[in-house]
Amino acid sequence: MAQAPSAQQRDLEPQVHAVLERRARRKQFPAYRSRTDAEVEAALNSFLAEVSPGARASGLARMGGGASKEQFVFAIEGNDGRAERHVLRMEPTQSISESDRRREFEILKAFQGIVPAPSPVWLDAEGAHLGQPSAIMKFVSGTTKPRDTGAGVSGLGTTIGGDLRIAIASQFIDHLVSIHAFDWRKAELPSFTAPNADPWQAARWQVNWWSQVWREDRVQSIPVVALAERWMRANLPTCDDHVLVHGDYRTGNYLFDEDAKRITAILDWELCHIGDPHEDLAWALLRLFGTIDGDRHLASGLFTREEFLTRYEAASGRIVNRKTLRFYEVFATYKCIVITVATGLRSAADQHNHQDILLTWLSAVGHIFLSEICDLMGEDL
Amino acid sequence: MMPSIDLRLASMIRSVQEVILPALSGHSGLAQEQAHLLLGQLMVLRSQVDGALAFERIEATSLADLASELARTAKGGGKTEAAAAALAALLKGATGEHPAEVRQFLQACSLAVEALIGASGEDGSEAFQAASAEAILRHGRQAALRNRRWFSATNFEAPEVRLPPLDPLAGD
Repeated sequence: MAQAPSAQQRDLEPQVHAVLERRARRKQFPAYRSRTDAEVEAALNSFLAEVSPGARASGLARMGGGASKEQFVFAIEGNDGRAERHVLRMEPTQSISESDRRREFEILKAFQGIVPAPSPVWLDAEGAHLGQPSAIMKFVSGTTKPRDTGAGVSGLGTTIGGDLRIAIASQFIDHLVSIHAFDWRKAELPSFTAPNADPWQAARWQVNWWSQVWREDRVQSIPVVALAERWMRANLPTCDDHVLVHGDYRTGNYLFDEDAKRITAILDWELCHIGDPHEDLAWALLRLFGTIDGDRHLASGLFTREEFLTRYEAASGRIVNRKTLRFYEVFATYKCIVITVATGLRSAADQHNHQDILLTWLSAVGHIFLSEICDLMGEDL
Repeated sequence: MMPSIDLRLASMIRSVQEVILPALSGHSGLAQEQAHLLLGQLMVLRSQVDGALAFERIEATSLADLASELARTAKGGGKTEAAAAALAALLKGATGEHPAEVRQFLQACSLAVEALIGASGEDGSEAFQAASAEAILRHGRQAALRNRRWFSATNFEAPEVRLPPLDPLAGD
């Protein structure tokens, strides 16, 4: 019998607590049925009639992939007769990682002009109009992998070579540094709270968030996952340099123009929060998000580990604390295990997602993360 | 068994490959994507079906071994002692013979192990924390490798990764 969480274990960012509460309510929902393109387009036009009279969506088509949100591209014709493409991001009943469209919308708005990011246009935070919580952004062109890369999950084993790698690597660092340099204290971010109760709260909030999700979603427990939680609680790092953490910063989560060798948009801001900058570094360093080049592992397919850290330090002026980084590497791997092995399988078992078959397929990758977390903790214990 | 599971899976694979996927060409991207995944899942299932029960039994035995070691060596305050006692009581039952029983055991035992690990983080002795970490990591490494080998047909492994064959991964 699992123990009830202690008061320390229930300490969460209030808005994340609300997301998890909403998630708990939605777990009671019946099986999720994905709507047809025609149904979505009709709902979208009814929404647009209210928020932007005269605007009309056409040519709606579902975008591929996306185990987290349902995504559709469509065009809106302006008064000048020019059609502008947009993207609708809509939540299924349960996503592989639960998040809040309002937070995503706020953060995208805040980052316009700071780093390339989709421009948010309309929000239906509770799904009052579109049936499911949704946000609409302007379409950004670009690709997540070079033309000569085969099919597969974006960001897993993506090889970026030659001059393209040099160009993208510099921008990858620069944009991360800009995100971490963003002055969130002066920004309009009412849906975000900074961890300020004590120096451990940034790390504790993350461990509490994802361990709660683990406990609610796991279809079977795994001893090493419980050990990882015990290890993290015993090794929480302090943080006195809170930044805006992207939360999913890696190759596969940005679009680039291969010919211009330019990142056109940083994507997937949904897990953004105020926290420790080491968290984004550790995420980008995850082995599975990298590639092997000869006998070298390239973080996010772009840099060796030391090159990435050294360049980040030089560009940001921060010193990377290797012990804190190790904590966040364990945490990042833990989070990936929770997403793939727990929430992915639970969503499929409950029929609460539009991609059950993808989620059960993807969960096999969790065993690679389990090997990795053993290696990471084994070096420390 | 006639028709065998293998033959029925093979006929489903052929149906998806030769009839369903061509019919979807030019239609919904999501339907095509899911049909490809269905094909992949069927192929992996076909490669696993004959060894599935044996695999789950190996998983159950391996977990039971770890659980016994943890229950036997647990030391600490009231929370750790209570969780160890609950785990020991659960281990008095069998791991089961039928697939559903084996899966039930895996669920119940893994939860009891999780509870003991969590409790030991609160009031477990230092010696037990160190010894349990070592035992759990040993089990975790072997279990992860075993499952990676078992699911290797999903092709998530990097091309340069060489996993050991399944047989030596049977025990811990």
